[in-house]
Amino acid sequence: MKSAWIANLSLHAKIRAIVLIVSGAALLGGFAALLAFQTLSSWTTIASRYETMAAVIGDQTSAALEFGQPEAAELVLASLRAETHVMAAAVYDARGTLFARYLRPGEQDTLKTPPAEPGRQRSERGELLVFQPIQSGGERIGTFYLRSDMEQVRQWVRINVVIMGLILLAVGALIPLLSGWLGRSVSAPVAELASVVQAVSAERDYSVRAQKRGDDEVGRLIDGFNDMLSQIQARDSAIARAQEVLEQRVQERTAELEASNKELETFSYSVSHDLRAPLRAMDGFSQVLLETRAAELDDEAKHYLQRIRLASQRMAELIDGLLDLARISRSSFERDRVDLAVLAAEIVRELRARDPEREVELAIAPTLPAHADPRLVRAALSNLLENAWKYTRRRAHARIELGASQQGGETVYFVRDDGAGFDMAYTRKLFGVFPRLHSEREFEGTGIGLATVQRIVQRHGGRIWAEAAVDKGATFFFTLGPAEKRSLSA
Amino acid sequence: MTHKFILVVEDNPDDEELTVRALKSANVANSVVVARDGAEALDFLFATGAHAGRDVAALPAVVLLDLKLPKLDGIEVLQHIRSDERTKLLPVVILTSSKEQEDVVASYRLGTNSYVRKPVHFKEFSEAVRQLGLYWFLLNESPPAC
Repeated sequence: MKSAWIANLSLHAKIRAIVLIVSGAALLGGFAALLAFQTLSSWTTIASRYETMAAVIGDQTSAALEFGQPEAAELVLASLRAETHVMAAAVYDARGTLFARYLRPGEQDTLKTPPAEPGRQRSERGELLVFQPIQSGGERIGTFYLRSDMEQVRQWVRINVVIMGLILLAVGALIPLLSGWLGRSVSAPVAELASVVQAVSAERDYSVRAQKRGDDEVGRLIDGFNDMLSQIQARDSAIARAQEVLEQRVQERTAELEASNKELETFSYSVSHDLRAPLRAMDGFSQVLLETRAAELDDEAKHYLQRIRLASQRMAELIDGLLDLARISRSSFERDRVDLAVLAAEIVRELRARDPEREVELAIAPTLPAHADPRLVRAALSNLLENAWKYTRRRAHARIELGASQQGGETVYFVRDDGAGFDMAYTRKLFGVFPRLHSEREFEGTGIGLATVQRIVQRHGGRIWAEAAVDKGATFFFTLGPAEKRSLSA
Repeated sequence: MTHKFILVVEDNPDDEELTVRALKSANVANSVVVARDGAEALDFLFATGAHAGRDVAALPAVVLLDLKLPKLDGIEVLQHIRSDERTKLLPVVILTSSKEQEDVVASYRLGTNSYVRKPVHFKEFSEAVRQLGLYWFLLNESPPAC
């Protein structure tokens, strides 16, 4: 949490904080060292002054000690009154007996016996103790003792602390101003870059550029960023150009497609209209001859006229079949939920009505849901069932089955019959236009039906294939593309 | 009321002959007028061009109109007939080879009274034409001339 709070601080605030903390620590450390040094040196100065003083007083009192005149020694000691910090002073003879003494007014007498003498001077409870041997003719004849408070040192420290505090305050006031001013030269370009980055990502405007202020790392960062922006801009315009070209190409292709579709439509229209008219004439005039000249025509002539009529009718069927096939390719395509079982039942009803005398057992699965174009899938199913109906004609009791199975995640529908079947060697030709596996004499047909079924299955993105054997029936399998799965799970 | 007749608009001579023959068997053949393209049909109906001077008020009982015609096609002829006050109510039957969905839709949208596809089989064809002739010529009551 805390580190996150620091991380979220602005760069400028971070720089200021760093400068403040570092310079504050440096200042405090420096001041502490200075204070320690000053205290030590002032202590040393004072101590050496008292030592000198002790040496002088020792000299001045040696004669009084030698001649046993304590008054004279006390007179000398009394001159210490000028030194306000000297608390007490005393002269002891060689045996350690108090000889003469000085007490600052208000101080208590603790000088009866000489204090221990570990060195020439030492500090004790913040006080300075100085010991000076008194000598005469190379012989020690006594000791001078001086005790002083260290109020001077304390005063020194106080003054120093006050002065340093004032300096610290002054510098402390200056540092934020300085760090703010200096820090801005570092943080401002970064902040500016950040705002440009934000603007670019928010508005997707790759034409803006960050302004460079210097050739430092930030400057290079800005250069790199601007360079990237230029690259993105260049790529964007390249993509836009490519898209334009593609769109244009799509438009051209669409126009071409529309044109060829239009052509195909015109062609189909012509076929539908113009190819039928001559057939009508052939059929019509043959019929007129049969009706009006029946007496003049022999049987052979009548037979040939009938042949002409049948041929023209068959050609009309072929034309209609081709037109249906063409219509499947260009008709609209829209998937919907359909039940093939329901469609099949309708188709079978029509077939039964056409051949009421036939005995055909129909095994249609109770429900065969699919997601397909209802009109097209009905046409396909109709073709397959009609074929099954047709090729089982020679069976006294025929059986036609319609069902589905799941294979590898897709639904495979099938139409199975036990009719004439065909030789699997010819399956290649099965779905072509016109090639037939049975002669017209055996089973009538146009040879377009299975091509139509295949076209319908292909428009659904599905596959169609067949299994058969001669006189053992045929099974046609088909799928209706990937979308059928959705309708099954729905 | 002048002489009652049927206008057949047909460019194919075979179809024309078969149509007329079928109408003959329905006993309306004597009253058939044939126009061989769309322009001629309009000339006849509005008494212009080659038919100038014809009595415009003498309209056929029904027009049997083919769709695929030279010059003006059947759809355009139907459009002209329906947009003119004089022929707005004239019964028009489209008699064509086409079973294209758009032709059927366009014809009905423009106000044809009927749409019949010519069967290839002559017996069916002559029966269809015969029935059309009977119905429109004899049975149907024509709209009053306006």
